[in-house]
Amino acid sequence: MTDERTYKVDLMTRVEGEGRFHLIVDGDEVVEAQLSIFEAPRFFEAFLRGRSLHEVPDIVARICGICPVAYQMSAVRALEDALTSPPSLSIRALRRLLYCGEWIESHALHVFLLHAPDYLGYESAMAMAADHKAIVERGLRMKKAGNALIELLGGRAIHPVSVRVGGFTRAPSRTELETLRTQLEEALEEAIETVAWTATLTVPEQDNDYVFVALDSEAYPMEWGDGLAVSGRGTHPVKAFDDLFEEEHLERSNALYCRLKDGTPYLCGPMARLYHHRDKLHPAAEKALAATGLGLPVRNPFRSIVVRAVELVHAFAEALRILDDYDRPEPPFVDAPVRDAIGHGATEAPRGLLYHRYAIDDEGLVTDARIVPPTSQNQARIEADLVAAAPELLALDHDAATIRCEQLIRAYDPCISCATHFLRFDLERRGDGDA
Amino acid sequence: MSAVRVLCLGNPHASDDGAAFAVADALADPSVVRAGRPGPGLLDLLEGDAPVVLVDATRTGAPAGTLHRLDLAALAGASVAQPNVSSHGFGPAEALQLGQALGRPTPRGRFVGLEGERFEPGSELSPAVQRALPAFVEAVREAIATLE
Repeated sequence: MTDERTYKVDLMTRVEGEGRFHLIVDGDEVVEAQLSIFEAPRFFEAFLRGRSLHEVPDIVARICGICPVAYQMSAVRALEDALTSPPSLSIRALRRLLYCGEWIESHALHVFLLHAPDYLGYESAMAMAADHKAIVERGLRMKKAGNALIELLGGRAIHPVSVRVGGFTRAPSRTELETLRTQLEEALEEAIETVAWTATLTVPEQDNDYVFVALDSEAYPMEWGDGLAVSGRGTHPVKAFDDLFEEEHLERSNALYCRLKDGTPYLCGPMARLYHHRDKLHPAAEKALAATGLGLPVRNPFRSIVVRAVELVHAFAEALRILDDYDRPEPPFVDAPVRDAIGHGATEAPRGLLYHRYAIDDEGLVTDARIVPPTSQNQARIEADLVAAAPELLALDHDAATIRCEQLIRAYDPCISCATHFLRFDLERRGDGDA
Repeated sequence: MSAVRVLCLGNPHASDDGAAFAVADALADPSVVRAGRPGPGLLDLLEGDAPVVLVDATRTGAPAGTLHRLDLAALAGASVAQPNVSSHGFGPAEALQLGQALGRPTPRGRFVGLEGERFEPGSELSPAVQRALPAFVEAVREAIATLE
């Protein structure tokens, strides 16, 4: 253990949130890969206790600036489960439409402004924009279309406020929804072109043996599903979440580490959804995917950019389908009597499975809350990938190794805090390792 | 002259990151936009001819409670030297810089920031930020006045 060196590298940008990545290498062996993340949900779980169940959707929307809708969707699903009052099909469709907006916003941000610069050789979206203006503008147009959906259905784009337990505070008219049609149709075409474009990007090779976990649903999963599909291990009820997975609290991280009960890390998110539900993609998305010739299942995290683009097509096409079939929920919500109960709910956030569980008392107050976001579920998997990539990393010089680690982490689209800030990266080489 | 638009950035559930929302509360003007953390979506909010005052918490390494007053054009330039001038991953400086790279005009306006020290989940501002709040509000009022 001589000649120990620690390299502290610049702030890692282009990920959401705050965290630190620390890779410790001794000679040519990875001693430890640590992704330390700070997660807001832990704080919010405590904050929610004692609150009325009707306050929950607004409070959880504050957890994440990127995916407030996801937190609301899982919260109302769990609370309505506790009240044994499932939403009507028309309310579900409207929620799905809102969720499409968030998937579009989140995926467009990641594909164009966070992920693409890695493959086009730029350190930032700003640098890339100067040379690839048309590409970045395309991404921003798509993001704006997603934002328009959220604005219309949520009132305030950053923190939608109109979702409530039992439905929506109000439901838009068909005429209001139709104002978005042209924008969505144009963006759908751009999303289809985006799939083809992402497939042309040269990305590093990697082939990981993933356990894929996604919500099980009759449709490509977003706002609805009662099961958890685990590749090679069958499908289980959402309420059995704790029987399937184990959360471990690590000293270095505020997050809880999620693994299968036997300790195996797993992957949730776009690649896992595609693995389990490819046959449920909207035909437009399926066609765009097939045209790429991409080998399935996708097991290279660097190729997730293509999968996100496919999901962009799906979200735009699905939004248009919901517009076509729109049946305005009347009334926009139903009030179910409160009861002393525990409810479970999982939905598919852009980044993957988001599980909520609430215990409420007979006055409708939250007595216990549990929130398991996708990034904490993927954390162990990201670390495993970094260890797997070590031989390749160690062959690179320090700067190149740093960039490769950042790229690998970024490929998972981690929402590192849902609170704020940056990921710092330290590469510590011990023994013979040198930069 | 178009009315000055005031955009308050941040997250009121992330301690000092909510400082700009405290300004919005103090201004008590319904036209003030609580924009949260729009990331590159800030570009959409900046469209139009009206001058803009951007209000945000900052994390530059300065003592907590320090006021930062910049032209928006200078803020866009600041991101090169200080990538974390804002408390957000894709903050206002990055958004302005992205806009410039895309050839979009930077709107006329001012940035008023208050240095925070605590950004963890929580609704309370740190004592240093609380003490500086009246000066922060005043600085925002002055910025509005200079643009009117």
